[in-house]
Amino acid sequence: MIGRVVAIILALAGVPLFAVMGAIALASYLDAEMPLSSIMITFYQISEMQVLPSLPLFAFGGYVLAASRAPNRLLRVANALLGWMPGGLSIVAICASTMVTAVTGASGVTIVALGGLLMVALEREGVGEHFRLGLVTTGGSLGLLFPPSLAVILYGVVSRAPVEDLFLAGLIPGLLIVVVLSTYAALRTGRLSSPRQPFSWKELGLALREAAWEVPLPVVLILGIYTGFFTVSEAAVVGAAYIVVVEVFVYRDLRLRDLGAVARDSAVLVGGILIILGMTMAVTNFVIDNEIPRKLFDSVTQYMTNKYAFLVSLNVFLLLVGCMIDIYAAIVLIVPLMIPIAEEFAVDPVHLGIVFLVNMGIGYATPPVGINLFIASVRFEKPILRVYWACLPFIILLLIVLAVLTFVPALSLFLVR
Amino acid sequence: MSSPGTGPRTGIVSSALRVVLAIERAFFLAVLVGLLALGLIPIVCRFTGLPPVPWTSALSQHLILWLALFGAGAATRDRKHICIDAVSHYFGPRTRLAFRAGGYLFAAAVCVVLVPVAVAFLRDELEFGSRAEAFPGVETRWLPAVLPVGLAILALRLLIAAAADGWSAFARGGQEPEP
Repeated sequence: MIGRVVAIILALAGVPLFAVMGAIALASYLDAEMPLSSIMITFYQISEMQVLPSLPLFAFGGYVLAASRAPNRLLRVANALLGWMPGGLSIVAICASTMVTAVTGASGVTIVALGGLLMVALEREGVGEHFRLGLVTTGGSLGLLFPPSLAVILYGVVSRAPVEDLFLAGLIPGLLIVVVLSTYAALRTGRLSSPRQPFSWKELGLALREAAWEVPLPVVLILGIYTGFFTVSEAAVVGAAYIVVVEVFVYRDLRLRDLGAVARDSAVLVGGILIILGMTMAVTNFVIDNEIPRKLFDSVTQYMTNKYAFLVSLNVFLLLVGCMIDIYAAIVLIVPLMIPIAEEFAVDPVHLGIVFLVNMGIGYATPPVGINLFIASVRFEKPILRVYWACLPFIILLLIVLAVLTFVPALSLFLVR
Repeated sequence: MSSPGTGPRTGIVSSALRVVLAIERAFFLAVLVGLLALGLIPIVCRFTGLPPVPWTSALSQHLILWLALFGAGAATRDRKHICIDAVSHYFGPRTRLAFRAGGYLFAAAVCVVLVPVAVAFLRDELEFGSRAEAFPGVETRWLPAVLPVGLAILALRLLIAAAADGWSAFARGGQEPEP
């Protein structure tokens, strides 16, 4: 008990999570008089996980895209496609943020890479500061469910749910989130006095021609995976190789010598995730050997007897987790404990994955400690309290969508089953 | 006392840091390009009908361990380890740096404890592990050697980061240390 309290205090005090998990593993194995070398044996098993090599490759591809001018080109395409609609630019902001977050992995990169551009464009359109601040901040975590989201891949690795199924299951919920927020944006900003951009085939053609090498990529990857042409790991290889060739040799946005810095940035992200995964696997093995999920389930069933009560409690818990812990750490720490309990309540693991990831996405922008709030506060030089208030309407809408996705599993499972 | 970044000692440290950064960039680029190449080989073999190369998958999965340990080392330098970080946003710069120094010192201690554990694991593998080739020129039993090496380097980097943060917190008025 004292050990658990100490671990929580250390974690809250900002000790790197891999060290907290390493310390818990050491203490648990010593306490149970188990050989410490088991920690290293388990850590070593991360080199036996089949899908894991796709993680650094998708991360590398995403960082190359973020470092190039691809976000601007994709923004132009989205603007040409949707800019004519009521509240068009706000919808464009939602769609562009979703696309960029899907490829970069939702670690605040979207707000940094695209946020400044979007804030200026929305201001020119006459969109009020309160609304655009909330839109851009919440937009930083919208694309989590779409391929090639790193969060989905890591969830699949940890939960052993098929990554292809998770990507397919995320399509309808992801689109639902985009549609709901876009509708809200259209209602809020559709009556602004600024002149709306008329739809132009010519501009659409020019924008598509400019981004001709980038627009087909997600479609090719999705079709490639679902037609069985490639596995997820092969899609990561093909996608990353394609992105490097296109951005370095076709668009020439990056020089070969820039790739070292980009490779290092993606290794920092991936290394930070993988070392937690390795340490946590040691703890997870101990937890499973000691039947802790079973004991947790027994204590949980004293207070709730059906799966919906479980899902509601899980949502509350995950929202708290999501605003305190980075999504990758949350996947590694929470999923191994959550899956066995959810199985006892007959919750489908793919549905659970979607609910989990949507919670984490909302958590990013949830006061008081959602990380996107702090990134937006620093990036746009706004007081944190103003960012809290700006995000609130978006958070409420996302919570409604979350409730729908939780209680209507068919929305997640329709394309899978 | 010379101001940060101007004294001769700081100049040498800065140069050393730049060299390490250049090495890291080259190393991670090589690993990622290696992963790409290793992933492309089976795809090319499949579509051209060439015989598959059996060790590509094992090597790419092994490189994941390298990325985990050395990527974590780079994350230490950038102060980008994943933390819960629920309270530090509300502290001033000095307190924040002092907390981070303490956290990194603790993490270094954990790694120091784990190094002999990894050495024991490697020793067992060398004695009882498979002598089959994992990939050309490397026996399977040698593969865990990356664990003690990676953990020792990580411990060293965490100690350096903790010292730099502690120094910045108490002697430089909370100014972020040089990356």
